[in-house]
Amino acid sequence: MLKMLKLKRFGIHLFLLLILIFHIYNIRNELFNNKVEESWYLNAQNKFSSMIKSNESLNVESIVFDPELYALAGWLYIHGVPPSEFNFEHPPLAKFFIGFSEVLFQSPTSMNALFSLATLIVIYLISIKLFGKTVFALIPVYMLSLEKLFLSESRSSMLDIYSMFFISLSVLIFLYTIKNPKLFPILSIIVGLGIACKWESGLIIFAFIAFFLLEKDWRKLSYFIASLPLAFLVYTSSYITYFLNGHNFF
Amino acid sequence: MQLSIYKFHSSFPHQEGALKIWFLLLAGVIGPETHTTFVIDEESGEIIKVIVTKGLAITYSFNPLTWTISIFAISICLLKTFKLIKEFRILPLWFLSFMIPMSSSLILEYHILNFMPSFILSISYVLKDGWVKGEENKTQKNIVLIAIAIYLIALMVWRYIRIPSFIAL
Repeated sequence: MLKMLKLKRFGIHLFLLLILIFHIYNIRNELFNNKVEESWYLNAQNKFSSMIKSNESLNVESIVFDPELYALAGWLYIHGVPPSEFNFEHPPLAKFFIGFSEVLFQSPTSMNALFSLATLIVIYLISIKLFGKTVFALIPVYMLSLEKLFLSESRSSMLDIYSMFFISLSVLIFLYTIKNPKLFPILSIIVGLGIACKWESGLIIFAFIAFFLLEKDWRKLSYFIASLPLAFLVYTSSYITYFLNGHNFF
Repeated sequence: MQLSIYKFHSSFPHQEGALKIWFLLLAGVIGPETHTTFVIDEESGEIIKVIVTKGLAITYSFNPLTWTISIFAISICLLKTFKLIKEFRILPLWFLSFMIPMSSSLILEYHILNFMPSFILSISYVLKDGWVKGEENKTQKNIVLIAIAIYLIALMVWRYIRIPSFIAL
């Protein structure tokens, strides 16, 4: 019986590994081969400047697409440019990740690809928590790995894969927090990291609050709300280069 | 600077985006689109005909096997688990906490990514529920197993299908 159980678990892990290998195969170019030279950033910066200047007579050559914009923002942030100077529209953390990717792997997309892989693992862990260690825990991972939107976000230097990762991770931690309130500070830190990537990530807070309201678990609700300043602190910390350049929060 | 971010996001025309997320999620429709084709005479270089086609812009990443059935899976998950299994409550709440605020704002397809796991996990729940119910009867169990296998294969096939980005009306 024990042998059968072990064999079943081995089979599940093997399938998970196959799904992850298939995902790596799908994103292999963005993970390993999408290297860009320093001159690319200078060109992108020039292109962006000309787009701003020639706002009225916009042509196809001068259009800067979001992935290029975030790749350039990441490069600038990691080289000390404060977030207020370039692409202030979204919080800086995800662009810092892109910047790290550019420095570590010489590619703006490697970190996105790695985060997509991490997201699949987090979804698997959520599935185990909800469905138990059964074959059904593999289905969400399989389904997500085949989503075209998920794949395209894994392959380009967009910000959404980071917010998706932190939202999913916060849900996973939340499922543990239901039974162990000591994890509330960790939950808030992860929520803060998500908001520091994109503001929309903060919407998950409503789901957590609604959960406790439905449960009428006022004690846990108050713990959660009391831990939320940590999320604010994490969010503020993502602007560290901004503060180091002598700016204040507003 | 935070106020600048807020002003930037609130500068979008929100009324235009009302309920757009639902069209996007359930049908993959980005919005109405007009294609104008100019037929040019090669010799004279003059425009001899202008064809205006009205239609709908469709997102390339639309997946009817997950996106369209998301609301049904979430509803089933909501109804079946709300009283019994409290952990599962987080799935519909996750979905609604994004869908309700986004219903009144201008949304792009990549915003779906933030709550995509909620409906994917809900669909998996529906599949598991079907399997558990089918276990009582061997024939029923085989039918459920075949149905799940077909669904999972269809997902793989859909991954390689390219859908048109414009449908003329």
